This record gives sequence, C-alpha cells and structure tokens, in this order.
Amino acid sequence: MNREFDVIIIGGGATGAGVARDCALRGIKALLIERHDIATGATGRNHGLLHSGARYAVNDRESAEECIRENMILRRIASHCVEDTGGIFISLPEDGLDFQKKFIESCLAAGISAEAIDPKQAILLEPSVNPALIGAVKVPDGSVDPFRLTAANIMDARLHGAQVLTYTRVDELIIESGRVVGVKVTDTISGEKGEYRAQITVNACGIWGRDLAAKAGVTINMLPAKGALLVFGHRVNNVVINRCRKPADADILVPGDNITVIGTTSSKVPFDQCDDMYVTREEVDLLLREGSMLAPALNHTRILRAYAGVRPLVASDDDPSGRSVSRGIVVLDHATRDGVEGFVTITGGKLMTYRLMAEWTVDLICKKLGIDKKCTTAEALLPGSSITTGDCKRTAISSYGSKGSAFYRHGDKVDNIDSSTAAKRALVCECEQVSVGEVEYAVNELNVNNLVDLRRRTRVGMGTCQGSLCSCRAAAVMASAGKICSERAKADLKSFITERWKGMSAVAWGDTLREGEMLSWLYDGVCNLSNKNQQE
Amino acid sequence: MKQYSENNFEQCTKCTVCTVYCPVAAVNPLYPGPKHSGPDGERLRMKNPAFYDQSLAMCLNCKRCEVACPSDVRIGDIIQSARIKYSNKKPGLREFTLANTDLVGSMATLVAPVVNATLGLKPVRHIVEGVMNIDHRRIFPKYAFGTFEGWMRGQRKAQAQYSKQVAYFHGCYVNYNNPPLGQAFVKVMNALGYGVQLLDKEKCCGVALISNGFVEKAKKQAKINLNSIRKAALEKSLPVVATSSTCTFTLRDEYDHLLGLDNHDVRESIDLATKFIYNLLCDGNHTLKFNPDAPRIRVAYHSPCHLERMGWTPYSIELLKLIPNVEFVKLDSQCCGIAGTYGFKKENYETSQAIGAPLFAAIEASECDYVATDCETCKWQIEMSTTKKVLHPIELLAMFLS
Amino acid sequence: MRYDTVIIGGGLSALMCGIEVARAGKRVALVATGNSSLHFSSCSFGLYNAPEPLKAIETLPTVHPYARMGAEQVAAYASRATEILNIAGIATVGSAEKNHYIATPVGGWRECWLSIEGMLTSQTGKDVDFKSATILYPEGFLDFYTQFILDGLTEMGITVKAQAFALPEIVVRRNNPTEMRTVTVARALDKEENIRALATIISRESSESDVVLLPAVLGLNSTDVQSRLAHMANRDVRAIPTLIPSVEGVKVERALNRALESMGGVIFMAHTAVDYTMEQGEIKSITTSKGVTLTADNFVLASGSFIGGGLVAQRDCLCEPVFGADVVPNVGNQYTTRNIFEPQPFMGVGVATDNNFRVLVGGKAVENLYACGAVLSGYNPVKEGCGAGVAMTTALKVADEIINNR
Repeated sequence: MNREFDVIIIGGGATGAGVARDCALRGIKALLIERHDIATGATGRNHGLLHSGARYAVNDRESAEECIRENMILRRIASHCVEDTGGIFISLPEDGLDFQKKFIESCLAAGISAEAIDPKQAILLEPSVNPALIGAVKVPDGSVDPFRLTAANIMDARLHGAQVLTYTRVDELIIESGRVVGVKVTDTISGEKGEYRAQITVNACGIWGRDLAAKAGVTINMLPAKGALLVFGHRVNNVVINRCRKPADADILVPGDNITVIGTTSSKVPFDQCDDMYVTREEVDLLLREGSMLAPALNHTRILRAYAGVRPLVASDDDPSGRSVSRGIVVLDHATRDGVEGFVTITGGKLMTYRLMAEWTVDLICKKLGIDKKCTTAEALLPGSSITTGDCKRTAISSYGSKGSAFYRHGDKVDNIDSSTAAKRALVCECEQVSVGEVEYAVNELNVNNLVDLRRRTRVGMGTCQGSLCSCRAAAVMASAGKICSERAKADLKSFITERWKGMSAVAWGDTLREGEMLSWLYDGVCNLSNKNQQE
Repeated sequence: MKQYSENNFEQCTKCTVCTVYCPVAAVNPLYPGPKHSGPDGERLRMKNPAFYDQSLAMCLNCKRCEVACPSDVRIGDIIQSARIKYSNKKPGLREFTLANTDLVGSMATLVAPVVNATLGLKPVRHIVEGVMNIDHRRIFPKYAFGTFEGWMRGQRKAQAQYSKQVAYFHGCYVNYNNPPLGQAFVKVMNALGYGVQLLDKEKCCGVALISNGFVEKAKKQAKINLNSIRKAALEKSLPVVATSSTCTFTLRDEYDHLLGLDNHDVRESIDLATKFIYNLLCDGNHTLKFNPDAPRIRVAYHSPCHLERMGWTPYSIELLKLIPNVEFVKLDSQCCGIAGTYGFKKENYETSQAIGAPLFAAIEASECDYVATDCETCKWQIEMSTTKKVLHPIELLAMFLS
Repeated sequence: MRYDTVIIGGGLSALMCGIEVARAGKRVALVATGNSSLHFSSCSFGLYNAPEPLKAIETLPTVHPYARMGAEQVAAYASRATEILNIAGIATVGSAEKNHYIATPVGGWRECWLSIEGMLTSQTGKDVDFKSATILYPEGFLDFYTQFILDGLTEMGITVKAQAFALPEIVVRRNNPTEMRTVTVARALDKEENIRALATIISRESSESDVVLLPAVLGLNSTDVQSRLAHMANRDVRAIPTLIPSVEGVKVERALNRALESMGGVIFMAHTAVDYTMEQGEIKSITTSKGVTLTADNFVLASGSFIGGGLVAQRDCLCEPVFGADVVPNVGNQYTTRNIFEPQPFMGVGVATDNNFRVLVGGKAVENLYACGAVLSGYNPVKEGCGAGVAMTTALKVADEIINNR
C-alpha cells in the first residue's frame, strides 16, 4: 500500500467519512484512519434524527438554517438512509401555547416549513401522541440511519480512490520542523506498526480530537456532554414527536427502522469516561418520564437497550449542561491558530451537518494545497441512493420480497446481495431479516472485521432478541466464509454478546431481563463461552 | 377494529418454542411459521404494511402456538389480525358456501336425504371440486332431516318444568347435522335437574366467516348472538352453555380479540358443556346415575385445538374418567388438521391430512372402541381418516346414564 | 376442581415432582403457562460444576438448596431422578460421583452429571475416545456450527472431515428462509425412507472414520433414530447439541408429560396461576388466568425463574407474582452486572424457604406450600452448572415431604 497521501483524515465518524468522500470527489488523494470501526463514536450514538432545524429555530438561527438546507440535501443524496417520517412539535397543557407562536415565526424565518395543526389532526397523524396535547406544529423532520450514511460515504470515497484503514490506532503525529507531516500507527488486530505521510492531517476525532490535538502540542477546549438514549422494541410512532418548548432533556422521539428512540439527556462527563459510556438509573428514569409525556405508550413498551454518546462540543463558556453552547461548526486551521502547519481540526456541528462540515474542511484543504475544485457532495448521490425516495419504499419493498428489509439498508446496492439460491436467502437474523447473502455481502464488500461491525452494516442482532438467536449463526457464517478463524469467531461472539448485554443491562427488568436470562443460559450455559470447565 | 397486537407481541423472547408446535410448519415447508408470521412479522408490518405476506393465509388458526408460548404472546391472534387488516384477497363462492354454515345448512336440512346422497356421490364431489375448489376426497358431514331447533320446539313445555335452567348455544352443527348431540345434552342436563332452553335468536358463531374473510358479516352475527346471550345471561341470569368447543372459544375470545367486540359483561357466563357439568358434579349437590350393566368400552380422547387454547381440556378428561365403564386413554395433544373449513379447500387438503397423520396413527394404535372429542370438525376429520367412530363426551355420558 | 396436589409449573422440576407424587397414588394437576425451558436444553443435566460434584456440595453455604438437603440426600435424590428419567424412557449416561463433559454447540465442552445417551461426550473435556471423525450436517442448515466443531476437535488432535448431506425432504425446508429449524429437520428424520437414505450416506461418507457426528436433530417423534442409523450404517454415531429449540429437550419434556399422564396426572396447559385463597394459614385454592379454581391439600411452586414467569423483575423490585412470597437475597435495584459473563445477581434470587422447602411469606413458612426448581434462591444455575440438578433433587425432596407428611 502506498504510504504517501495528500490528506490523512483521522476519525471514521460521519464527519471523517464525509471529508474523505469530499476529498476523493475533488481528486485529492486521501487516507482515512479509524481506530475502531466506522461510526463507533458520537455518529452511531444519537437519535438518528433528520433534523428539520426547527429545534434550533428560536435560539440558534444559524444552526436551524444549516439543518434545513442539509435536510433537503440528504433527502436527495442519501435517500436510502433517510425516511421521510415528518415531525410534529407538540404543546402540552403545562407548556402553554406562548412558545408555539414564537416557534412558528422563527421556523418560517429560517426557511423551515411549520404549520400549526389542530390537536385532533395531530392524533390522526400520529396516534401514539399524548392525547392531552393542546397544540401541534408540523415540520419536515425525518429519520436518518447514521451507520448507513457513514458506510455510504466511505463506500463512495473508496470508489473515488480514497483509502480507508479501520482498526488502526494513531500512536503519534509525525512533526517535522513545526509541521505535521504524517502519522505513526498500529494495526490493532495484527499489532503491525506503520507510518503514513501527507501534506495535511485532518483531526475528525470528535471528542477524542482534544487528545489528538495534544499530540501536536495544540490545545482545544472541549466539553464532553453525555447524551443518553433508550431504544424501544418496535415503532411506537411513525412521525417524529418533539416537545414545543425550549430544548430540554428527552424531548425527541424518533422512529428509526423497526424501533423508536427517545433522547437525550445532557450531562457533563470527565474525559476518561468517554470510551466507556453507560447509562445510569437516573438517566433511564428521566428518559422514561419525559418520553412518556410525548407518547404515553412508552410506559408499557419494552425497552431493548440504553446507550449514550458524547457530543464533541467546543466550550465557549462554562455552562455545565452544554446546552447553550451553539452546535455550530468549528473548523480550526492550526497553522493560523497555533502556528502548526499541516494540521486541521473539524469539530462541533452535528450529524445533520456532517456534509457541510466536510465541505468547509475540504475547502480549507484546497486553499492550503492550492487546488481549485468545487465541492460536489451536495449534488452527487451516495451509492445506494439512486432509486427511491419517500413513498417508493412502500411499494419497492414488496417487489424485493424477502430482501425488503435489506432494501431499507442498502438501497439500490441490494442488487449486489446474492439471493440466487435458497441457502443465500436463508435468514441469519430473524428479527431484522438479515439473510446469509446479506451477511456475506457485508463481510466481503463493506469492510466488516467482526460481528459488531456486521451489526452496524446490517442490523444483525439489533432486533427484539438482541442477538440471542442470530449471533451464533452470524459468527458461524463468518467463520465458514473463511473470513475469520473459529478461534477468533468465538472470541468475537463473546464480545458481541457482551456488547449487546451492556446496553440491555441498564434497562434489565421485565421482558428485557427475561431476554437477558435466556442470553445467559444459551451462551454462558449451553455454549459455555466463558469456559467454566474446572482445571484439574 | 381492535388491533390485537397492541404491545403483546413484545413479550416474545424469540425462544422458538412455538415453532415446535405449529402443525402447519410441520408439514408445509412454505409456511413461515408462527414466530416469523406473528411477533417478528408484526414488528416489520408496523414499519411498513408492505411486509404483509400472503403466506399468512396458510395459518389454520389452531392457536397451538399460543398454548405453547411460555411468554403468553397471542401469536395466532396477531396473525389473524394481520390477515384481517392487510390482506386484500377477496373471498369467493367457495368461501361463501363454507363460511355461511347456517344459511347453507338451513337450505340443506330441508332436503337432507338428497343433499347427503348427492354430496356422497363421487361424480358430484368431482364437480364440487371443479366448481368450488373443494377437494373431492373430502367427505361432507351429513345433513340431518329436520333441525335441532325444530326438535326443541316440541320440548318447550317439558323443559320449562325444571326449576333450574340453562340456555344452550347449540351451534350450526348440532342444528343441521347432528341433532342427537343436542338431544344427548338435553338428556344429561335433565338428569342433573336442569331444563334446557334456546337463546332468543342464535346465529352461527362466525368462526368460519372470520377464517374465510367475511369479517363484517361475522361482526353482524356476533352482535345478534351477544344480544341473545346478554338477554339470557344478564336478564334471566342463565348460564349459557355450548357443546362445541370451537363455538365456545369464538364467543368468548375471538369476538373480543379478532372482531373487536366487547363481550366482557357476558364472557364468564359462556361455558362449555363438559366444564359446566363437571363443576356441577363437584359441588356436592348433583350426581349422575350410570348404568352398571353397560358394556365396558375403551375411549381415546382427542383434545381439540380451541379447547386447548381455552385451557379446559382437563374438564372433558375428568368427566370421561368419571364414567365407570369407560376405559380412558389420552391421546397426545395435537391438531387433527381440519381446522374448520381449512381442510375442505382443495389447496389445503394434502396439508390437512398430513397434519392429522400422526394423530390418525395414534388413534388406530390406541385400540379404542370410540374416539371422544368436543369439536365437530375434528369429528369429521377423524371419522373420515380413521376406522373409528367419534362421539362427543356428552354423547358418551348420555349413553351410559341409567 | 379438586386434586390432592397442585403444582404450579410445567418444566423439569414440576414434572419430576408431579410424577413422584402421582406414583404414590395421589391425584396431581400441573399448571403451566406454556412449554418449558427444556426447549433450551444442552442435552445434558448438570448437578454441580466440580470434578466430584457430590463432594463439592458438602461445602456449599447453608442457603444453597443442596445444603438444605445435605450431600447424602442430594445423592439419593439424584439417583432417584435418574431412575424416573429412565422410567419415562429417557436414557442417560453419567454419574453423580464424577462429572463428565458434553460437547457444546460451538465446539467446546461443558461439565455435566448426566447426558442424553448418544451425545458426543468426553471423560476429561480434553480428549475423546476416537482418533478420527466425520461430521455430517444437513446442507443449508444454519443452526449447526460445523466449522467450530471441526476446529475444536482438530485442536484435540483428531482427524476430522465435514461433509454436508442433502435429503430432498430436508433440502426443501431451506426454501423457507426461517423454518429450516432443528425440529423440522428432526421431523423429516422420523421417516423410514429418510433414515435409510441417511444411513446410506453415513456408510458412504465415513468409511475411514472411527465415529460419525451429527447434529442432535435425530427424530422428533421417535427415539430410536440414532441407534437405527448406527445399526444400518454399522458406524459409531454420536450427536452434538444444537441451540434452540433443542430437539432432545423437546423429547425429554414430552416423555415426562406422558409419564405423568399415564400415572393419572393432568396438565392445565396455557394456564397461569394468578390468585389464591388461604384458610388458617394454609393455601386452600389457586385460580388460574383461565378462570379455573384448583383446590388441593398441597401446593408446589415450581414456576421457574424469570423466563418461566416464576419470578418477575419489576422496575423497582424482584417479586414472586402468585403468592407474594419472600424473595431473597435483596439485591436492591442492581439486578445485573454489566458483563454478562460475570455472575448476575438476579440469577441467585428466588423465593425464600425453610429447610423443607416450604415457602416463606412475610417471614413465615406456609404449611402446605412448597417450592422447587429455578424459583428457589441461593444458587446460580449458570455459573454452578446446577440448574437441572437443583430442579430434580428439590422436586423429589418436595414430593417426599408431601407424600410423607400428609
């Protein structure tokens, strides 16, 4: 592999993937390095909300305008990652209707369509909504799958010549005469060490970007704000439900794929917790309490799991909640800011604006490299998005038969999934309908190294049973595809089950605890994965 | 329409126990099985109704999945509700004929000998297959000449003399095909000191209408039945008793779960004959005198699916065990394959018979003199497919009374 | 309805207890929500994970169900359990004196006391009594992890080859994306022509191997498929456990059901106990979800753990839903640990009893209410490998109490 590039991007979240794609489309030779798998940080740990921008309209006009522009762009370029659910902002009796008026005005001023509807109409539109509502506003919210979005960006970047290394840790930045000229890395699977060089290195590490910057002797003041979310067992709502008030905790309920997500909380956490987030009992209580104000059905809906992400906010003041911080995009040219050449940090922002963040970053790169190429990422469709938008999904999935679910996941790339034989059509994951063919496609084409990667590409193990039925099948299919050896497949199976349980553990009561008990019986008991055999 | 899923499907832990007991999946490789058609599928259909799959029509609504489920998921209800909600397949002439058991029955009983003779003829059965898609190998239940209701009209005075009364939901089968079962019920009830009266107005319970896609008509009939039952149960404080396990199940559970009709006020008043009688015999105030000289016979009991779902099989079993000269054998609980009108359809014939095969073999191996069961369609299926005659436990009880 | 003994539950413990009480001539009824956890069976029964389980039992803490009985009684009940399994037609191998090892579905080993006859087992978990093996598995079958098993045996120095086989009746099952399950394959192998065909394949494919290994899906309604295959093909045929549904577990449950019914026992299937009445400190009757009231002299709570519904995990407490029995130990709201492969606090939770397994309600033992099996507290079935052992021995202990005391 070539070790010289124009640009090295560190961080495989949506932003890093977007930068890699933008570079590749402008003919810039790019290498993306990610220490885990793609979309493992904040990208994969949020609502999956395709913001209309309405949430920010009152307090942060700039963010709101960015959101609605990117919203419209994503619907077009990433149609297979997006679902046009629509959204409503509801006012409950305790909220009053004062905020609603200001809200609609601000939305319209930011270019976001916002239409007040009658509470009865709102209930018709979304039957699960709290029937006590006194007002509702319709906005163009939707849902977006961050895993698919990131994977599609990566795929397009590679199609256009970018290289991608996952499971590769950056040990140090190579600094020569005050200039960052490359990185020293370790392959975390093989342990192999290596060096890559480029004219510009991009720090797209989210909250972990502070540590990377420190390697270049640069200080970035970041505020890690933890956001916890709960995943419910099925689609409680088909329309995004928001609370029409000043943004607060747990006031967005998003239907995504076969589930519904409520979030988020916001609390300051120390940096050393960013790598191992877990959701506390208090957070679960808060999410449930506030969530059931949006849709009372949440009180008796099974919670599959809880998870948390860390917002990479750049601290502008010392607000402990991190809420009044603008979600604004921060591009730092460390040459002008800190006197370190060849090093750029992209941070702040949000999933919604990943593309714009990438555009600004690559604009800066072009300027620095003296390249005169315009950004085309707002027009060029992402791989998988060439067929459908909106309603087409309804009819298309029936024509794809058993590949219907895969169509949701891979868009037009579903045709690359082998379904020519019964063996390939057989389902590995029954909850989410993932076939043997789809697993093999993901393993061969989508840079899958282990079961958890496979889950991010296909939803294996993300359904009701959280892997109790499918993870062993998936591990065996991966082992027999010759991709990994049995030994590793089994170790992998164990870490997959561990990862699934981690999310279940925070909400382990009722049916979720029963599911957990079965998981434990099957994998610790019947399969003896923890290998309890007495050593004589 | 009450959508029976609500959140019940989420209790599913994906333990796969239901897949072991689905009689259709056992014999038909095309059926996606209860887990996938039920709770798994429901979750997908909530996202997009296009995930509805016509293969759900293969479910014969036996509810054995629900009996097996350790998590109390109403798998069968979820599947049937999905059919009602999403299927756009329109029922045809055959469905109409099979479903409208009382309409067709009332016409047939007028000319029973002719209908029986012609439906018994091979050429006619081939024509029925050609026109109606009803399998020619299927033997139709014979129609009686004169209905049970007609017979009961002559009984009115005699029955009124009993101080205690029950209202009898006889069902289409007793009315048109097997009045002697109704008569046996009257005989047993009289022996217990109860008079038997009919409901004000009884329509077919609607089980066949529901399974053949005539939901609106089923609802209409159900409302008439519920009105009559209310009159009997609430105004006259009478227990409403049925001999047919499927009618009982439909009145008690399917009205609510599938048709969305609230029957809670009368549900507990609707009882099954064997349960009602067994409970009477247990209360210390009622006894039945059996004929000590009756011949000793061996009876193999088959538990019908819907009786299993109601959970009342032990009542029929314990009642039969009470008959001194009956040597009781319990057959392994499994579906006989007929599932009401399901097995009549040409496309289901093979499946239907394959499902029943292990039961038929067990019956032949049991060396019984009679098979006993509480369901009329099980009776048709077993009589058609084995060498044994099938009796209702109530008929056996009546047979052995002194 | 009236019975002598009413047992809430329908799993291994309930059936064992029911059979033993019915054997003593009592009228017994079981109340079962659905089919049991035997459907997740490992094709084996564990007594306790230790090379010599009966010795290890002597040192257990006093709250452990085994400690309540004492090692001697446990040994006696363990041997009676084996006998009852045998009466029901379930042939097992193994001894309570010394554990042996059964193959896991993923090519490893786990300790056990008894294994179903015909399974792949090892005396040490480190070696086997053959040098070469042929693994045969149905083509397209996803619930058998051939590669894991092959690699596991190879690591032990065994010469192994794996070969898919295709029988038309099994192949056709794969046309269905979900329903090629252990049970559908097993059902096909109930049929004479398929047994013959498989026997032919076995003798053709395994001529150079000491043993033939097949997934444990050999017949659902018949129990002699494996021995017939061995006989017809003239080979040493052994079976390897699968994940769910466990065909051997289904067969065990059915055999025990039949044994119970043949002794006059009755099973109220699809009933959940929801209420009870008490008179003078004793349970008089229970009522089920189907509106049936069952009166009896003695009641047994054999309702299982959380998955069986014997225990319920609410947001704020773990409880026993029928009688509101005392649930111990108090784990606060920390039911779980974050690593699933570490001991889970909820696993050790169950109802409190006295040393005769009479259930404590409000700190007081109810005279005629006993508990056995997974609903009990004081042990971790997964970590100690003692789920089946506790289920069966406590069931027989409770049966003895009922038979002898009344």
